[in-house]
Amino acid sequence: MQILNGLTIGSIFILLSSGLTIVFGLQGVVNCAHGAFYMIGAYLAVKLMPLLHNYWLILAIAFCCTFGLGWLMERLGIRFLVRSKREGTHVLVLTLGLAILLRELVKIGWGAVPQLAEAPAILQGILSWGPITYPKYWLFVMGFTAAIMGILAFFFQRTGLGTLVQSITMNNEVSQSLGTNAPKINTLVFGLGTGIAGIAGVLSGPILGVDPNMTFDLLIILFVVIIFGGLGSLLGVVISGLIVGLVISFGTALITGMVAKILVFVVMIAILLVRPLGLFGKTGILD
Amino acid sequence: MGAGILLIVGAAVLPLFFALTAHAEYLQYTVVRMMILGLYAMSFDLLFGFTGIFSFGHAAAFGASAYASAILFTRFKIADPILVIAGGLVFAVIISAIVGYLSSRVGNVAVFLVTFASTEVMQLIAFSNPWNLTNGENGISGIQRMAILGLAPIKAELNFYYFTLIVLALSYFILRKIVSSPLGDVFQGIKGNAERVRFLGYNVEQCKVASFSISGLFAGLAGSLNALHEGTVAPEVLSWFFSGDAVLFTVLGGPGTLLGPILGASIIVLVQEILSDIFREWLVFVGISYVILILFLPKGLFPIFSEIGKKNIPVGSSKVSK
Repeated sequence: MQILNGLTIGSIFILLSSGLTIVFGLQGVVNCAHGAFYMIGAYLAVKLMPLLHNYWLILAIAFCCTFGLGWLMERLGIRFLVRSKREGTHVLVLTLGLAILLRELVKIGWGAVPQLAEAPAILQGILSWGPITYPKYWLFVMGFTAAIMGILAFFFQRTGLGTLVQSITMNNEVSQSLGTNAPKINTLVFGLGTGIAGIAGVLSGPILGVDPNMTFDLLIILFVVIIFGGLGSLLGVVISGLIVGLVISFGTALITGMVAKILVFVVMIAILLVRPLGLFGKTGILD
Repeated sequence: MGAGILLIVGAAVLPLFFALTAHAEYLQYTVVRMMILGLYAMSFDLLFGFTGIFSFGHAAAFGASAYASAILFTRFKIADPILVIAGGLVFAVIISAIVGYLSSRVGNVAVFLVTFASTEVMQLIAFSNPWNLTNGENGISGIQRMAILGLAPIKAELNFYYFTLIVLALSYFILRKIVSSPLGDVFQGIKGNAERVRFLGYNVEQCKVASFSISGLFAGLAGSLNALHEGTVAPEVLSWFFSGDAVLFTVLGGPGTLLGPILGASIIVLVQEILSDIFREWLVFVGISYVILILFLPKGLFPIFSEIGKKNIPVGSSKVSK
């Protein structure tokens, strides 16, 4: 049971951190506003469900909205800072400001009271298999995450656009001089990352609840996941997301959640000091 | 330096005008908050504006010192404020040195994560109430303002006002001395190009630890003062949001100016005092100001002020605007 819980929470970690990690790998940008897109996705699900009654449509809408917002944010904000050769910390401050702004706007528009989103009708109920009983929806979240990660892997390995993204990640200048429109691809990938965060928001609503503070609640855990997995590595994120999910799930059950969290942070600092590349990192992006 | 003296003299005569209004005590209280948060932001400026380290855990030093002072007073019954503050400072410097040591071993972006995680760990420890010292989420209350050296009780708001002003002024002059000393030059060299500083034979890691410790000392001073001023210490002083405040004050006022962060802190306190009553989501303005400042005014507001100052007042210093 704890294993299944850990895997489900880990799935949400994976979805969220995959977006963070590809953006970081591509541009070296740490997007503090990533959680804001996650929150927006979750709120869209809560607010649109009574109107549309179609879970799949809502997933698509949430993806499009958060994709569009992320696209705008990169196009109007981050690209401007990168172009004018500002320090990396300026980008951090910008994303932090946007995160606060989006959270407060959601509070004004939709209220600050925590809510629980509703799972779609087909996926409600419990599945039992021998002694184990488990909510259907949680299994669906795991499956859906696996599907999205599969699509992402296919995108990066097999499609022409994905190959271009990889070439920019490896060497920005060379790929630009070979005619790649790097800024355009950067914007696209940034939007892709925030779009996946929006999907993660829709998925996690019925499990973790929906409130404006989700903008920052998971952020530090996500940093742990992407650092542990190695920045910029999708495979690393999948494995470390599951590990962190399991550690938190078991930690909360066996010792208190507080101690489990402290342990996670201490492990993260230790990884940064001892092996800054994480499990699957290839280049020293962080230096 | 000139602008600093001007500000201090201005703050010293301000209570005379407050005395004319009906809310003298409230106004004094608000300005004391500005000064304490200004000191906190100014100490962050040494780290961020001069050494170029983006720490996202500046609250660690502030909170460590506030908690240490509070525990010394409530648990160990030490009633001399100098001792209480000194105890807090020692703890703050130790914590800052540890965080600084960890941060100096990792790359630029990772510093953000290490300092963030360290502060988060400290807040979780404060929440978990070890040996009943920190009192969990309620925090410690019942800290009283005591007589300094048996002389003037800082109990009255006006006395506390001048006490804080003296501390702030001394801190400003010491920090100004530090940044114009050879050590300060090395700090700015690290901001500019750490590799070259290393080639010149300096130990960059040790200098970063030094920057963290000095900045932690002054942040700790602000933390202890705050504990005495508010009479309570809550875990919020260790939240990452409070660390973010240091960044906001500094970016708003102007990094690398020392006085700018004080200006930034004062503006935010003022905005908060005015807006938080009529508009609950006043943080919207914090978000907007982050975005607008970083996009269009990366040098902050202070350079604008000092430019105006230069035209009107001959003492406007060229060093401040750098």
